[in-house]
Amino acid sequence: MSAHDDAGRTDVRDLLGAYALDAVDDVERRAVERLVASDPDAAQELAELRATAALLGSAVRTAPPADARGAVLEAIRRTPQDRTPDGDGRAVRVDDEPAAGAVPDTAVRDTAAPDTAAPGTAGDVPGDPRGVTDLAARRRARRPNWLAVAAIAVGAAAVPASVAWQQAQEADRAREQAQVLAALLAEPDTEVVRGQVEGGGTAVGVLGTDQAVFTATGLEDPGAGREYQLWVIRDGVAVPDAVMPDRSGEVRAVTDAFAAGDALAVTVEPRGGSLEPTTVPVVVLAAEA
Amino acid sequence: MHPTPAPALRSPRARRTAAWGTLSLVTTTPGGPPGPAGATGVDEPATLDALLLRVGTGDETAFASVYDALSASVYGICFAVLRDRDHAAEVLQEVMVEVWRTAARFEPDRGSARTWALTLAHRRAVDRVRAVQAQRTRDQRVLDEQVERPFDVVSEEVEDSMERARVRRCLDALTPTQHEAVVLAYYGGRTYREVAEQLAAPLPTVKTRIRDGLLRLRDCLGVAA
Repeated sequence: MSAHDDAGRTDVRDLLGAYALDAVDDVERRAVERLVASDPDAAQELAELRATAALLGSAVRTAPPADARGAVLEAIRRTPQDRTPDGDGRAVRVDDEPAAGAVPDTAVRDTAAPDTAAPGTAGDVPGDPRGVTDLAARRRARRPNWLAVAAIAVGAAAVPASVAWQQAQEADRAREQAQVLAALLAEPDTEVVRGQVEGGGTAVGVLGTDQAVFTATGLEDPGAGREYQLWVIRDGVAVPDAVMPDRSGEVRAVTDAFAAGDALAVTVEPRGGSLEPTTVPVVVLAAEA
Repeated sequence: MHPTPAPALRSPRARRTAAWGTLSLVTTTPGGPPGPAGATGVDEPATLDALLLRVGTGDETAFASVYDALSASVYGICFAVLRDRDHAAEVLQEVMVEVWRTAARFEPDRGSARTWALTLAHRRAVDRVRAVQAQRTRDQRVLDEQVERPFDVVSEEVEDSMERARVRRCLDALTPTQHEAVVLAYYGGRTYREVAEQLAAPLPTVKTRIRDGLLRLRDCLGVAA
């Protein structure tokens, strides 16, 4: 990790090629993205290298399976589009309940739907006031539960592949975050701060001089189509940072955009994150002045 | 959707040609998708950009055209990186739905529609291959098998095209070390660290090789962003 901790601009610029080929790790990716955001020359080079990489892609054009077209056209009919925040003043994102299979996240989330349906149907099972067992009524009452169970089973069968690779990705990310954390904690100027999260949960920030780690546990589910997003607050301005997938009430993220004196904040945003906060922060963490 | 890796990912290659990146010419796969997919002609970019902008406004007909223009490239990238038809088909669908979902974010000033979509495709293919690899034991990732993996394996189904010929010519114009680093990173879905490990070369060297190689390819292919 130390390799890119003190990586100068030139080193980051050297990464443009590897970045264009998706051959960098998350920390390097963010370093390149910061460079490109502030350096038009680098942005221009990246645009050209990406176009070059795309030609490498076009060169291996291969006829896809014939049934993919129908499946995709069917899927998009069920998939709402993300809206850009600018322009016609519409909502930041129209992201209701996206179709199953649209994105891995969605596939996982959707399996929760039968769950929420189940309690309702279970509550319908009538208790017989006279203590007489009406088997037929019970059977009738039970049927919806079976449907719910079947629905869950279908969902569960569809999930493993995507869950497995999400977990694998998560493991990679966790390893990297652990490395950053270890490096940060070794620095003398690093401060560790803790705060309560509005709505439940505890947040911890490890604030270094040019990097920070944010973690929170015990969080509420952000809600369908919504995610926790991290912000770096500098001079009163919120700079958008990572969208943090909620893993059973736990989120974490590493940010390179952090500098000494900044604060970290978290808001609940439409899935995919926003460019400006659309809600009030649930927690703000800053070093003691 | 089954998590078990399909055979293509682990079976040893029957054909072993000397080096990866030998882009051999093969005959065009018949029955390719109709319309713009057949030829990425000189006027494709503007048309495709316009189509993608329309997709951004929810135009499903425009999306169907975008699918026809891009699906073979997207699938080809996925298949090159993943070496597995099922995974490639899944990622193709995932990418095309993401194109639909996020089309409003496409900004033609910042690159062509094709570049935008193929960048996304490669990233998603790489995400998937890294996850699939991590899912299996990392130790068993048998790097040496991958070293021997000839790029030709893809060829049987890869469509012949002008781009293909041009790209092959320009790849051949790179130094062998640049060539191998670029090909391993792009088609192999490797990080430059993995490339360095595999080639037993120092990290900074590989980083530079990839960048220099790509810059040279850019010039050879006459890319202007």
